[in-house]
Amino acid sequence: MAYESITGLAERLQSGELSPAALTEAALARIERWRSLNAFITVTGDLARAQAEQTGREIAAGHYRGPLHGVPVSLKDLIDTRGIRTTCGSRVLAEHVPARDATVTVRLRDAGAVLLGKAALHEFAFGITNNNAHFGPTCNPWGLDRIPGGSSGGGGAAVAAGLGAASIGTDTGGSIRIPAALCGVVGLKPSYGRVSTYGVFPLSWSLDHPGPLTRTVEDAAILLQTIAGPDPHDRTTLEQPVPDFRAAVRRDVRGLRVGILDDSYHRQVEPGVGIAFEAALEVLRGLGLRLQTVTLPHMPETFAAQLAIIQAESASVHERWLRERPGEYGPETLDRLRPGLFVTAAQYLRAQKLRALAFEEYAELFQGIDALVTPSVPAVAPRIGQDTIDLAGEILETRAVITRCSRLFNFVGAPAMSLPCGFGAGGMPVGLQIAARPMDEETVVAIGAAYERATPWHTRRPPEPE
Amino acid sequence: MPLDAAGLAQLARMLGLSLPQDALDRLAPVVSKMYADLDRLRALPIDDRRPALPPLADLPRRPEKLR
Repeated sequence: MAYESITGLAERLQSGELSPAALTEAALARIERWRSLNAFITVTGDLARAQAEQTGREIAAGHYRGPLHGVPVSLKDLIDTRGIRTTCGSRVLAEHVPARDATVTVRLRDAGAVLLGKAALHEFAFGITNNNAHFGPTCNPWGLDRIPGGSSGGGGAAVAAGLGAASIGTDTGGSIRIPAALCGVVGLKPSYGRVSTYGVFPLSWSLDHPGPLTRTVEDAAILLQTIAGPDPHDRTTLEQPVPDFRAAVRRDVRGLRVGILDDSYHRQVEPGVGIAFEAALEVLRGLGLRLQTVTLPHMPETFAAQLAIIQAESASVHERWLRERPGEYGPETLDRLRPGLFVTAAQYLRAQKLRALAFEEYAELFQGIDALVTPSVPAVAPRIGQDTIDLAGEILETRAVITRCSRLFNFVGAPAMSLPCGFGAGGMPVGLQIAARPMDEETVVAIGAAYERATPWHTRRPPEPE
Repeated sequence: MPLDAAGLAQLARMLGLSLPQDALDRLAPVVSKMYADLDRLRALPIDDRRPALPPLADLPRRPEKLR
């Protein structure tokens, strides 16, 4: 039951074979059993039990709301939950209790989901290790001495260990897809404008994307269906009809043209990751996809511009606290935030002008393809505290390595998904990334689901704790 | 010219920021590299472009924004 998909759970819940109360109790028991992961900052056990009882009564009375009704999930602890502490993983907001719900919180509750708790994250989402100076490191269920990735690392670890059916994370440079890849689950970063960020504490307004972490592609489609769509509270959401993402799971993918980004950022990977990726490409060929290598110009400049945007926007978010309460940040976070105070307005706008060029170049690339595939992360999960990674003989800083395949898609606002595609060094999971045109999540879901049906990787589970 | 800790301290004072010396020492190379990287963007054909704000790509059907 712990690892059952949302689609499987929904059938049993709707039929009455399984009660939300029993499912929720089992999930809470597993959270306790997996306490060593440190996947949650706050467990909302009483609320979860009350919601489970309520949803159970509704289902029994014939008021079934849909596939999330009675299903336990978690939220990254920077997503506002009215009356429930929302810390952003920082001492700065350690006692912060929001007076409002985020839009994604409201939409999940309206769908009948049960909230298990608030998942751990890298402080203020500004990092990819989840080594949190205030709440301690989150561990990877596939190896407790390894990072789960971040910044939505608590959600990734929780979903991988069967602590709830899904989690909602946020992704500014890979923060959903990286933990998905390193923990062996599915992570979907939607297009910019697809999901409201209202009530989500920002890292970088123009790069932040909320999205789901799940154990299957279809489950990710269900979560996205629930949280997507226009929101009058967030003027960056697009007033476009939300497609039927779940229907895309069954779509025929034969003949789709898939580009393989052929540059050092996306091809310089650990040997085990390279083997898993090449095997995944063979599977895609076998599914009838037409693969070709492609390139995008100006990749180093793109990454420089993206970094400057994150620096400037995050410094703006934190400016008052950086001046008045610097001692309440973890030292690493403080050092990450402060450089943004020195970005000039002209430099910031120059970076956004380059972004306009990057949009054009990405669109031009997609004249000849329907999707892109890359490894999600060039390396398997490093050990907690490991500062560097050896990538093909080159010793590189861990954060730079871990984000190098994912961050492009935040810059151009395109949908991108990581899903399990094998195991690398130390038996740690490897992720395959699929991306598409902005607002074309359906192609990402279709290819991901076809790949998932053809491979066993999504069925593998980490060892149970002793 | 690379920005050193003394230069960053001067900038910080202009911005009304009070940063300890050890922070200035750590941040100076980071800020210096960021400035150099951003300088290189000037070589690209972006002078006549509008900044991508909000960062929404053009779509086949240009979406209506919410008011």
